[in-house]
Amino acid sequence: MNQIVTVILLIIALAVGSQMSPYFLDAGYLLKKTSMEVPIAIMAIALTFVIIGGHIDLSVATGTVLVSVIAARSFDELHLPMAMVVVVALSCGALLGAFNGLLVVWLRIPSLVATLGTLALFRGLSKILIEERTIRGFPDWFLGLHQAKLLGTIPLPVIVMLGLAIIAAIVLRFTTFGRTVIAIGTSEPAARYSALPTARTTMLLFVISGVAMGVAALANIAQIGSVDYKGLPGGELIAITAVVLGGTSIFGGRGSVLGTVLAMFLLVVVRSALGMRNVQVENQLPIIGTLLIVAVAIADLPAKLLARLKARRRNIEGTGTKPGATIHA
Amino acid sequence: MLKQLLLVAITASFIAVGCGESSTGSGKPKLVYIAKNTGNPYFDPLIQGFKDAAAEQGCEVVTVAPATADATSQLPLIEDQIQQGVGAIALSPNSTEALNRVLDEAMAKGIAVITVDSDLTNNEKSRTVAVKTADPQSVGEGQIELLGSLIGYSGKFAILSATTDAPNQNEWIGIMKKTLETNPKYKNMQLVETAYGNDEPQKSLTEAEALLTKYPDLKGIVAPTTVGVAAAAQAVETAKKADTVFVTGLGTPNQMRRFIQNGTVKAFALWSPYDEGYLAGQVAAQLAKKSLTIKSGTKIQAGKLGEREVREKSVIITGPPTVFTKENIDQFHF
Repeated sequence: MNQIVTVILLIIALAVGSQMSPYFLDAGYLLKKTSMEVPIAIMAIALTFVIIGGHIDLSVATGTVLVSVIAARSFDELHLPMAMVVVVALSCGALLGAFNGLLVVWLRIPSLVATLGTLALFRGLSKILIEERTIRGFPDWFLGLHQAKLLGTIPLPVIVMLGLAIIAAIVLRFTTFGRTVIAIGTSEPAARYSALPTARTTMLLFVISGVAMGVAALANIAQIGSVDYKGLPGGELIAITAVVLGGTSIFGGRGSVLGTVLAMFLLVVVRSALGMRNVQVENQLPIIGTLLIVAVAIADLPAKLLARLKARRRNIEGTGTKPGATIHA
Repeated sequence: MLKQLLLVAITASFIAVGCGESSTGSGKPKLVYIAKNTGNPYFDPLIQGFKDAAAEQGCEVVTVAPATADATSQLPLIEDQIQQGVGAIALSPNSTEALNRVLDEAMAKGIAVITVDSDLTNNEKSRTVAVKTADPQSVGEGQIELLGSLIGYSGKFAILSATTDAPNQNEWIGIMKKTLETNPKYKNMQLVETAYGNDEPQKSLTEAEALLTKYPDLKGIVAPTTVGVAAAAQAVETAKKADTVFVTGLGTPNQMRRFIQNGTVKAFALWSPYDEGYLAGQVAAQLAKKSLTIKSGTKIQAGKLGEREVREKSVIITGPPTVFTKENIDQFHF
């Protein structure tokens, strides 16, 4: 329901963007800009789960950088074949996620604080592991993955992102795990008293987030072809913005992967439209900030309208309910 | 209810703000300059020079820059400019590696790519031409001549450098030593020591003070690094030796202004970022208008800078460094 607002904003942004510049409305260009944001989008998809489960993972971007650094060193110094590097990246990501999970589940540190700590820790470890160096020289076939296009138009990274989003959406809606996540996010004590496996599920949430770091790291390496410790500055904030802009409640319990993906498109469209008019990056921030606040403020609008309509009808039918009394649906 | 409708209206109008004027094709070639990051004062005079040159050539100019100087921050900006169909993209690249593909794509579409200040080292084929500051030969020779003119071409002097493995400084110092040996004009000048301050203000100051103590008859210190030259000036000022020890080197006017004004330092040098931007603007405009092809040895008419030649690896050098003195320092703010 909530992604209706995101869809409307996306349509408005596309319409306005095409008015702002004759060069804007070009599917090839917008898809290419989207493919640049795929690492962040992958983090955002995993974060949707974490946030619906009532937690947060602030370490997604720096974790991705740490995985990239470890993957790059295992390629550069251990001379592992790239296929093995992929395995290393995914397992490393899972380990980093499990570490976050242990802090939250075992040590009972609130995830906001735990991952605020690992946000700094992962960046710091990256710096220690690679120092001021830049590692490059990845094989051409791997770098080619970023530029590969399906059906001649859709970049492979975008396909991967959509594929992961579809799997994630199915897991969230139709599996026991997905429903447990929603239950924990709605009320953790209630979920616990209902004998749901809260600890295991929470742990799994952070491991998923960690595996996403691994995938994002690989996508990032394929995109830019080099690794240093300074990558993806502030990436976690863009990912969280996408999740919330997509209608997922920051308090947990409800949200959707579809909304997150739509919000990622919305961010790409807004930034591209502003970029077409050469608006400086800092000057784009107030617009994106306002967009976020407004989207959240009106997120409940369709539900409220519906509730009000029902209430009015009931009132007319003479059930005695005052208009507006049942607004909180 | 009303409140929420109002919010929707506000969003719509907020997004619509951007569509004030729709971009019109004026027929003029469009140029863009992409700096390393915003809020970096080094690029202000460079951008001004770029704009002035483009205006002289009748081109439209846009300057954009990412918020941070990390490897990929310029990528979306370049992509946006390609999409707008600019004639030339000039940029000071943040990475020698990460931008290649998008720049290759620009060049494949007939857009000229000019690197300014920093080059795509080892990836030179991903740009049309590089505009660089000054060549090492003129920096090295210029430093010796500047020092010689201050100490009357005779006497002991020391070099205060950055780190022992700083590539730029080592190249310049090598040329300085060679110039001393080969040019008879400098036969009475004696280099007594090369000290290294690691480009740290405190270490540089300590090294400079040590030089003053070790060589009581020292006539000059030349520091081909902005941190070193300021530290050497500080040491000489504190020791009240400005009348006997002459400090010079490579520094920025803002850093050195105080020492020039109080007489501690008579002259120092640095290339002019304005000239560099101006030259890049001239080259970008002429490439966008297709009135220039880059080949080794091509002569370029660069407006008020005069003629410049394209060197090996398609590099164009801005020119010898500018010398800053009490007379001209107030014209420079970087």
